[in-house]
Amino acid sequence: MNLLSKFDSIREEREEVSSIAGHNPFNFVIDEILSSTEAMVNGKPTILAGTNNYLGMTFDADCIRAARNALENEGTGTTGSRMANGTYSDHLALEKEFADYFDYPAAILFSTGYMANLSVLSTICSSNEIIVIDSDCHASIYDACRMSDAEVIRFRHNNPVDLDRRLKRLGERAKSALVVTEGIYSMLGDQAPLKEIVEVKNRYNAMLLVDEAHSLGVLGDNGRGLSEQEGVEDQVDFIVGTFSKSLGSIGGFCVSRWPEIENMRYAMRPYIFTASSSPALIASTRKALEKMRDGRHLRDQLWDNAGKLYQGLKDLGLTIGPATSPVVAVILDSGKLNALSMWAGLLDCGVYVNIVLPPATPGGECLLRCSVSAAHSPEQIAAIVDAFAKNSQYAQLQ
Amino acid sequence: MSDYSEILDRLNELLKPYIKADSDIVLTEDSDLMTDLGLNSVKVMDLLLNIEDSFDISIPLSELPDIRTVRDFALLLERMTTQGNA
Repeated sequence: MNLLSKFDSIREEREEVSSIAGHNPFNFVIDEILSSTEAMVNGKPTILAGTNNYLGMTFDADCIRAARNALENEGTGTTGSRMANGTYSDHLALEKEFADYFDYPAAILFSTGYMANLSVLSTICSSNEIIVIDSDCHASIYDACRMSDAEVIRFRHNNPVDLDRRLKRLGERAKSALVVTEGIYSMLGDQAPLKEIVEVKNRYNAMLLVDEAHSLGVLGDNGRGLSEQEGVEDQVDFIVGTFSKSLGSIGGFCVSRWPEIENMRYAMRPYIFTASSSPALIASTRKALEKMRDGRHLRDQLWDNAGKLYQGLKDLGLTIGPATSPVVAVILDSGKLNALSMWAGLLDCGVYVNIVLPPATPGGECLLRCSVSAAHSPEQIAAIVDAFAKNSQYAQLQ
Repeated sequence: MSDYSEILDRLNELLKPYIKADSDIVLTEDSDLMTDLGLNSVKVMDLLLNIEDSFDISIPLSELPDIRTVRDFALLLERMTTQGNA
């Protein structure tokens, strides 16, 4: 027995999973990436249907050109924190562009979306204040709450009535509460009832943070997310998001209608004690943001693809998420063995999707999670549906 | 306000749906929620929401690492319902 012995069970579980699926789905390797929707895997061309690359921006020629220029002119990295030598003029330019895009007075960039949540949520509330999170919030939000000195309580997923009950219990303390929700939830692709949540938080004078990681570029006429779609941006206090989905790079941001968040910048330890994003990442993100804000055609294509995949899987009799969304989750209550077999069968058919096993899933069931891209061709969408049809014996059909 | 034995009875009722019908588990104050009752982290979080509804309280997540047994939970609920709660 030593410090590492407690991880033996993880090794055993990995071995069990590998023996069932033939490959370890949690150690999936792309041998060669061919495009934003296709890769070589195990020597075979494979459609990527689980990469969150919603607008297909990773191979956009303009983004690549911008990144290449920055790489050649500004080097491979900043080697420093934003607080020290890691702020280049392009970091400030991108912050201004995010603020302008959301029409908010302030924006702060982070090195990843995870760090954005970690930085903001671990700092904004202190020990006598309260963070009230949706129970299905992402792990980054839970981790940030663990770092915070605030009291943290949960409300039932997408349930404004339960949120109301919990804020009511807080009494006067509700004025010191920050409610946290997401735009599109990453596992099932469902959307928060944001108008109702805004009504509740306004009733108690609480603040609201919306994580638009999976809804940025996807929802709203200008792609600003669920807050734009629901017409509540003027009542949302903080919007957090990531560059690693619709924007096709790596990084995170927080924008706010409160200019005072600028004062928070150097109180956020995960922001201070991390190197800033490389010039190439910032350059490609600037170009991607420009294309995303004018990318109505990409959003239309994305939703057209999402509708076709959702309907195709529904027609097969599979149990899927509650509404059409770029995240299409096949819910399997036939057990881990069948989920792993289906995942491996899809891969054999040349289709990669995410597999998510309990306890990481809402409801404790196994999920085969697809994410759709605007860059998927009609033939690729049809091939994904066909692969599920060929492996439907692993699911209990409706 | 509730006394400990009343809280324990209510807690046992709330725990019953989480025990498999064919299980021979006997619920005691010493029952460990994860090792004896076999609750994984998702089920513990679901149980927590049901207990919060039943007792009309909100339990801070920071309290959870100290909860291992039925007794731990009952004592927490006694403390929270006695003190008043967020």
